[in-house]
Amino acid sequence: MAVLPEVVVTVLAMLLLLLDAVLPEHRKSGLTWLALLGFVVAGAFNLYQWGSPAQSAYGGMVGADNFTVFFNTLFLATAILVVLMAPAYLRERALPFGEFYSLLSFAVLGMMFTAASTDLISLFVSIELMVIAVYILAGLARREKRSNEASLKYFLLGAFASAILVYGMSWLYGITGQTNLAKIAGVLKATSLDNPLLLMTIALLAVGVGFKVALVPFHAWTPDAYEGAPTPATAFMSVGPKAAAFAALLRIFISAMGPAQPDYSLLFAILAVLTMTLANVVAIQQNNIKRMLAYSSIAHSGYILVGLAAAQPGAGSDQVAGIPALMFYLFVYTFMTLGAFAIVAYVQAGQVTGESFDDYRALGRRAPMTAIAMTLFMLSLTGVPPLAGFFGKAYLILAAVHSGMAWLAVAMAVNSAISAYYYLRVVVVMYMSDTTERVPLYRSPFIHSMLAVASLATFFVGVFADPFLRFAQGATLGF
Amino acid sequence: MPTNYIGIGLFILVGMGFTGATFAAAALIRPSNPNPIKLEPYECGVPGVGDARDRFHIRYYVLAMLYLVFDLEVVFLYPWAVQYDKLGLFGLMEMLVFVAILLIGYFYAWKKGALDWV
Amino acid sequence: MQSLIWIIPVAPMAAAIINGVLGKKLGKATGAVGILAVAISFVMALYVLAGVMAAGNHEGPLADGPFYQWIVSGAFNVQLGYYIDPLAAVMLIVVTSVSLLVHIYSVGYMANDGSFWRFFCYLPLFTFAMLMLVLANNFLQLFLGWEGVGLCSYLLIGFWYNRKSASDAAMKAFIVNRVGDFGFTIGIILIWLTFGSLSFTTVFDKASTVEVGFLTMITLLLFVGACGKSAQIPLYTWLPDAMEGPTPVSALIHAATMVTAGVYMVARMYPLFIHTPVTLSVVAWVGGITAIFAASIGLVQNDIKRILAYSTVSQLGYMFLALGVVVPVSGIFHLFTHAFFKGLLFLGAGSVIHSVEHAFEHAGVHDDPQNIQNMGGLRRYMPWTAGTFLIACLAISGIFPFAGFWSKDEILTGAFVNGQYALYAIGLVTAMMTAFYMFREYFLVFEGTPRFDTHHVHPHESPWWMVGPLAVLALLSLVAGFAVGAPPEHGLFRNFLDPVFAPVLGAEHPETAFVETLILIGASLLIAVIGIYIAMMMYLRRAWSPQAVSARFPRLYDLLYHKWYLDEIYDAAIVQPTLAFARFLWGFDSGVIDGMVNGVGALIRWLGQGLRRLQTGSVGNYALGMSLGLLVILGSLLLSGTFHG
Repeated sequence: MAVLPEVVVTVLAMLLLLLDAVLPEHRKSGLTWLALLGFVVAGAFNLYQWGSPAQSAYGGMVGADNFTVFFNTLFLATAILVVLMAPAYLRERALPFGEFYSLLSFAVLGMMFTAASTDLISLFVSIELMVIAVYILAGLARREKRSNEASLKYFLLGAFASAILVYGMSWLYGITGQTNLAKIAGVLKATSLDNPLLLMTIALLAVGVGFKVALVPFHAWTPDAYEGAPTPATAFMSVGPKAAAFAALLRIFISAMGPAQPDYSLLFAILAVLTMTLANVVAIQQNNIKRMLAYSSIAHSGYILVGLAAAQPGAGSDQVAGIPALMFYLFVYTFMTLGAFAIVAYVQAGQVTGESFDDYRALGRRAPMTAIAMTLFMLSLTGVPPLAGFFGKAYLILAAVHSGMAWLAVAMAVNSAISAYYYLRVVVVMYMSDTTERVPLYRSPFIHSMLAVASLATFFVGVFADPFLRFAQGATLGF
Repeated sequence: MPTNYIGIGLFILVGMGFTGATFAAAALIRPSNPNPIKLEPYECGVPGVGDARDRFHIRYYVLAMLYLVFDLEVVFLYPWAVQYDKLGLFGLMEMLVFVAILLIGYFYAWKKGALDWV
Repeated sequence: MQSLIWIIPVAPMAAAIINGVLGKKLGKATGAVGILAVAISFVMALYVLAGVMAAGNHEGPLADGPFYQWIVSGAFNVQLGYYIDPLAAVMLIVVTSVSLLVHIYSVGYMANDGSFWRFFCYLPLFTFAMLMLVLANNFLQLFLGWEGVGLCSYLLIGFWYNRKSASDAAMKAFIVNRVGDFGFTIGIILIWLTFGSLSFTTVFDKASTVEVGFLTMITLLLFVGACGKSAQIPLYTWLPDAMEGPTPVSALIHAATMVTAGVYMVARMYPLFIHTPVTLSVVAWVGGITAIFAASIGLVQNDIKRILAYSTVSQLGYMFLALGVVVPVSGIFHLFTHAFFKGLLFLGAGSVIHSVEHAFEHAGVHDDPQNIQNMGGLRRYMPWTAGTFLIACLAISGIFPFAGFWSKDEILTGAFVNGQYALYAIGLVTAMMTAFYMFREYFLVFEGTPRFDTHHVHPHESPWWMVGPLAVLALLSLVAGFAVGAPPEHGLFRNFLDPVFAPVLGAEHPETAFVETLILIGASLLIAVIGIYIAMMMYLRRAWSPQAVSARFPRLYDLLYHKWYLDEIYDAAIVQPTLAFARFLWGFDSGVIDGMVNGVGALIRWLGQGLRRLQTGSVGNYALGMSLGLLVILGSLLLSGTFHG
């Protein structure tokens, strides 16, 4: 059955919702275990499908192939890590467990279907399922003004972007008369691409999805939403929906509009440079660590977009091609970003705010292992070898060079040099400053195991990059 | 190639021109004779009280949303009922799953007190 | 031999991991772990050296292979490997031997430091990274080691992070190095593009087939990287500040090994550099100018370590000069001898600071324990340190028969013989300055009457942990020159390295007439003696007053004392504008874009009252920003037609 992992996650979401309504308050922390179990089972079913021939379901609306297995792995890993990091934070702030996990499951479900969609309609519905759940996640801290603000801003602008997206889809349908992605590609291949309406479509779709991955100038919501949302939700937002939106980008721009690649390649290259440059430079000025990470996440969207700009549909696997580089980077990005946010959640758990750089003073002494993990994440985000982030960037740069956009590679190298400034600032604060404050750090086996997983992944995906790159390459063979 | 854009250009021009022209023509032709009664929202109905952008109690929204859930259910049930013979057992199961999912949502809302009017 | 090479880098890595994880429990035992690991590496390096020597005149690498196949992905193939030839063997010996001595010395120097174990985690880690760099057989591994030593240097400069100046210096070193690394990265990318491979052997084989212009660009970019790491103009400013780190670190990283990585890299890439005369002359001139420039700053500094730092920059300039004027063997020879005598100078300085600091503390004196104006006459208190320091001073000044004489003289002779008279003159003047500032330091620290209160301040000789390494290095500074460097141009060292460079350089090997050699040697000896004589008259005999000299040339003195104001110039020209630009863009994001959006919003409000309801605070602005973005994208797409058409 092609959609077994999705079915598992659906059942999980329902179960969580029901139990949240039924269980007495003091037993709800057990839901953490249920959520973990559900995601792990779904993950097992998902990995089992690797390598099996492509299938489709629901009358060709969704498919299951290596591509979906790759993204499902990413999404379920994200979900598991978020579930592990959440309890400490949620308990400290008296936020509802069941609703958090349930909404998380719905969002993950939307993400999984987004990657699996082979039709414009299912793609749009899946994206909406995902983002609506995330809007609520962002506003989960109902009594906090900032959380409300985050949720509302994200919702209003997200609705706006969705409208643009669906408008673009309708143009695509208008041009080709098809909603099935493969059939659209067939029509586009057969007709002349020299069509101004197609450019209109490209622009609308790029804006619609560009909002979801936070490209400049459609990024304005990101810092506000990331700052206000509860930290585990922020962590999830910066990784899960972003990866899903990139899956949607690939589905739309490669599966369906692959033949029009020469039309949009330069557009995405320019957006990528704009995004990373603005985000990196602005990130330097931030004093709130969540805002800094928000800008960092925008900058990484820019890096990842390089993969799409450098994509050469149909390129052989003997080359360093854009799409595998993009997917590999998403994989790497997931662990290092979730890790960084988990540490923010960890440092915050015992405090009222805990979001400024000053709260990280002397963390190297107060919590040595945590500080080492944070250092690892920051170095990896900077792109220091041999950590995972370095290889992610290296592949993207090589892919850009390969497709003849050396200037893009240079822009990316310059940007990663700029980014060193603010990432290392965290390290400097942790190790090279002192504090008299004695805020007790929260202890939770969940978050510790989560940090261990994330830092080991950040390290080993770098040191043993090869199998993971093969994973990404194997997942793109369908393109 | 530039010829391809002539259509779009014309479209834009005509669109803007038409809008402008109608407004201009209306402004020229219409008699302007405003009086308080004419400016009422409902010229021959209940007199308007207060601002239309008044605040409603949030509970109305919750109820309206719950209503929407069943509205949607009906939207799906009708075509299903019409095509029941063709869809057969599989269709029945699918619809049962759909109704079950909606019921879980309804149950959740009920449990959380969405139906209590305090 | 191949099957055991992996031990060389793995031993210190294991030590770093053990000390990092168990450090708190092990306490002082971390020192033993570090020493043992590096000793193993040293023995293995000797073993490799013996193997290379036994192989005799062997063209190309003696061994080239992987320890570990890292990534195999189509054309992109990366491994961690080794590339053993005489050059690598020499570097292995230098790195492991100095590292071993510094490890031993540090046991004494850091004995009272609370973070002893942390120090002995970083130090083997650095050794590991440096050995990876030296062993590399491909550019990615080279880059990895390159970044690794940079990171360790950052950690060690900021070791005493409670001091603001230390963490600032660490940051500065890292950022300045990033500038160099940026060039280095682009160079590597270009190499991959041009040659389709990152393996040294492949790249070297194909070097002659590539267009010279392209090769020039690549080599210049690589040299930018070398400038960052080896502290050459304009990227040298981080090195003097790096003296904030513990002194053994300065000796190991900022004198003997890491800073020479740039020199090693250029020498390693000589098959590329040799084809590009433009790059070679850039290398020569950057080296020459850095040499004289840094030496001139060293003339007037008062911090015992900063003088040595400028001296290091200057000597590194010498090495690049040698590489630039196509006498690479002499450059590497100087690297070899410099590692010993500069390591010795730093360790000696460390010994002085260690002792004076304690003595000052004990007596409750608050003078700066690193300022040489507060010292004097220390020879009586610490004869071993003084004696070994004197040997190092003689070596760096190029006095016969100490180590520096042989290598420095070869560089100068090489410059002269290859017709680079201007660079020869620069080298000669630098040699005089070097002799002057080194003996100024020696006299002010160890000779004359003490300038501190001898009744209360009682400096002592340092413990044997520290004096032992000093003695070993002094012995090496004494014999390392003539043992392998004599007779000039036909010494053991040259014959050993010839298989590396002779095939690259080709037959052109101008022989020097014996008389000419003698005259050149005489000239460099004379100039060194003059330098020492001036220092003696000014600071030992006090016959010429230094104050009078500086008063005579106030502008020049001021300029030198403030290091040509380069830090200030950089700050004003680069650092401040960058920060201002960042502030500007931030303001741009929150101010101008919002402002623009508001402006457009006002326009639209004016156009249509109905739209006003949409302008609800900032969300509306954001939405409008998105719309504008959409319009711009759409407009540019349509205006440019199709991008490909």
